[in-house]
Amino acid sequence: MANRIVQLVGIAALALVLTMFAQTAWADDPPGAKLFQTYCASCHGEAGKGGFGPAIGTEKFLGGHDDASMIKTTSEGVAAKGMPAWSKANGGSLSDDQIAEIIAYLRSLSPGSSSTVATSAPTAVPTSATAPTVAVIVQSRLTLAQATGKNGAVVLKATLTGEDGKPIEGAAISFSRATSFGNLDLGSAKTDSQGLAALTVAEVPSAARQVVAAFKGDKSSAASKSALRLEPSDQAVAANGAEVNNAQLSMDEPLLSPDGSLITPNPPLVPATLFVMVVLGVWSIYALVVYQLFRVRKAGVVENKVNTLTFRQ
Amino acid sequence: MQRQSAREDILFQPLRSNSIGFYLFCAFLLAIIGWAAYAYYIQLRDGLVVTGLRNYIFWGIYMTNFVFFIGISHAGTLISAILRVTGAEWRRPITRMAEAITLFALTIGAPMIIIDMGHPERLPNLLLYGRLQSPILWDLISVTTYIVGSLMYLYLPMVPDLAECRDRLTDAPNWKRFVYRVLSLGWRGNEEQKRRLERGVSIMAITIIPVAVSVHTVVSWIFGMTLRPGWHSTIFGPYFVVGAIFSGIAALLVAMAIFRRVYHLESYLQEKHFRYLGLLLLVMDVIYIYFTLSEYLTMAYGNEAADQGVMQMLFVGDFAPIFWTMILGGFVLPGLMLALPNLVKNPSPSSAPLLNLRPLAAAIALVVIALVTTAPGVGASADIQMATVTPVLRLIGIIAAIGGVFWVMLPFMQAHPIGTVVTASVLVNIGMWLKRYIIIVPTLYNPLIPIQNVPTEWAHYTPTWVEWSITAGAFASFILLYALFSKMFPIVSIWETSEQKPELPAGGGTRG
Repeated sequence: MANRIVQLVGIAALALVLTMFAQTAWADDPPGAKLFQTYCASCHGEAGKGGFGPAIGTEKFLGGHDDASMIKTTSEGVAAKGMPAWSKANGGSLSDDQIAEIIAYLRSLSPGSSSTVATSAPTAVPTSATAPTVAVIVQSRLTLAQATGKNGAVVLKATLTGEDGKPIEGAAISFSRATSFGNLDLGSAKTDSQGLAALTVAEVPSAARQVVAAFKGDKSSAASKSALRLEPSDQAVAANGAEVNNAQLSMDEPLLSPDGSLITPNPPLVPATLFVMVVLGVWSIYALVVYQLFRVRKAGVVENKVNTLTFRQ
Repeated sequence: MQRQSAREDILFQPLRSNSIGFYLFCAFLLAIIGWAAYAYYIQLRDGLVVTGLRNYIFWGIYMTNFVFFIGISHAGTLISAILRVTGAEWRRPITRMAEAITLFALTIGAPMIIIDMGHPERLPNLLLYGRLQSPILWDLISVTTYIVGSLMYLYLPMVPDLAECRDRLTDAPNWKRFVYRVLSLGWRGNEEQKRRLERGVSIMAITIIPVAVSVHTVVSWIFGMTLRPGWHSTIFGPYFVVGAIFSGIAALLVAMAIFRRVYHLESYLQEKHFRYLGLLLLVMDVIYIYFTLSEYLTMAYGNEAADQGVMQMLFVGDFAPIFWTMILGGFVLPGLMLALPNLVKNPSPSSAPLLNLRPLAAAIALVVIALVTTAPGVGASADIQMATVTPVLRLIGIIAAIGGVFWVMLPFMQAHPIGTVVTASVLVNIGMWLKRYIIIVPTLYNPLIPIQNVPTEWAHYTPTWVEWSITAGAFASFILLYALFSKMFPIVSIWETSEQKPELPAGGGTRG
């Protein structure tokens, strides 16, 4: 019985390993599907259902974006939101044809959606519209600009306006620096009667930084976001203001492997094969030992029979 | 039955009857486990918020327990397999105990991962969506492989003993006899069976060594493959493996001492077993101190900003009390306890008047230790002030105090070699538990992206009563499983100790 249990456990564990391995093998999916699985699914989810990145395989998303804008986003990336630039021209690992295949695959997920949508392409990308039960939710637009303050300090100026262009007062705008590891909080400010929220950054680092201003949205206005590339400055300014919070800005960007080898959902096949072979090897040795136990038992049974026969005679 | 010696009878005694003390002991352990189960219920109901774990410091004493238990699991398999493969004869009475530690340590250690999860029901996701390139999945695979392997490695050499139990313990309750009958696989000790079993044992003894090494290496890689100060280190694999063998031997010595006392196994577990294993423990201690020095010196010497944060916390900051307790109390002190009694000769009886000075010396040494450790500035300074005189004086004071204590204690330690080795083992186990804590938590205090957007108290980790209760429950479960095992199966291998020759015995069936 015990060896049977050991066998069963062994088989179950092997099956698990094999299932995981099988997941890495792709069937006869269209080429775009395979590419999507390799490069996009780790953030955007299986079939673009969403995950760390937005859901881009839904009818809602596909209906609102035309091919041109999707190709542009894929090629150039959205640094503020952590979307890498994928095209070879921008240092990524996908050719233009491959990007087109991925877009075609996404289109195939929602056949009804038109591939040419007229969009007003606002600078601020509305994210999730909060509180859908409230009838009047005004789209909001956030713009971010750089100005020079006292002692040459850089001031980040975010302006929040409603759909009608009117400023939104009293909204909390949070400022952050976007890195490949996530956002670093810089501080936040409330908009005044002109819809203006300002944050003083006393020290400007020697390299360009991606800065993001975000409005979470409230009862009457939808959320919005805006990004700005903060240019490097020769004159780093000493911190003296109270509202200064900028150690995060001067910190260097954490180094990440550039080609995303850590992000791909599928393991490199040769090391994975070796790994599975080693694991299977160990379990085969276990099976061999269980077989010895089986024979031990058999030898005992045979002897018992012999003994019984001898006794009868 | 005529071969049944009085010595072997000692081994069957625990299997035959249970004392009232045993039931009380089990009830006590069950009470702790019940309390831990209640704590876990609270954690399941309210979530991980009842623990000290938060966004940034997401691993605490649960993971410490996990690494600790996986560590002492090396007691068994690795030690017993290495001794078996190298043909060390003195291993015979201790292999079973060691192998049982392995199995139960794994049984308790592996679920610590699940307890550490806020959503344990999402565990299947690890299999459904696991990525083969992630050390977490390597860990799952290697720990599973190791559990199954050590179960087989415990079971195989036990088959002849199970046959003994089947044949001898005829007055045992039916369910016990059923277990013995099924598990002994119809063992009669005939040539075919001996040959098959010997082959199985040899194969497993060789196979289990790389598997055991891989398990603790992979556990270390969960940390080592992560780009974080204090974790991203190339020596983490061997460092963890050595640490595991180190704490494994210590755990084995403690278990041996307890069984020796409770089950009266003095004729099996002799002083030499404690002496030999004590020397092995000393060797591992020295290697571990060497690795520790190499690791921290390399990290501190580089003076990189991220590493520096961790180093500061360990050497002089928040974690300095734990760190230095671990280094001095967990590594240096046991090392001295294991080494000095062997190096220094017994004081001659003529120096008896000198012995009277020992209590005085002990008092002085304790005063020095008290002064040194409570001196202003210990642990409070934010800088590693290597240049000032005070730390030097403090260091000399500590060394002198330790020397004094040892001078006082030496005759006592030499008179009680087993007690000394076992005390050192207890200290090593405490030290190694602290070491795992020291590896895990200070690094989480120093993330690459600064701690932000969370309440300030989330930047610190203090285990709550829930975590301590579950930890106590884990240790109680381990002891309970081990105790029940020793009541069910002979804790010392009968056939391996009954004869000097390493030959499998004839089973009861051929005995008539």
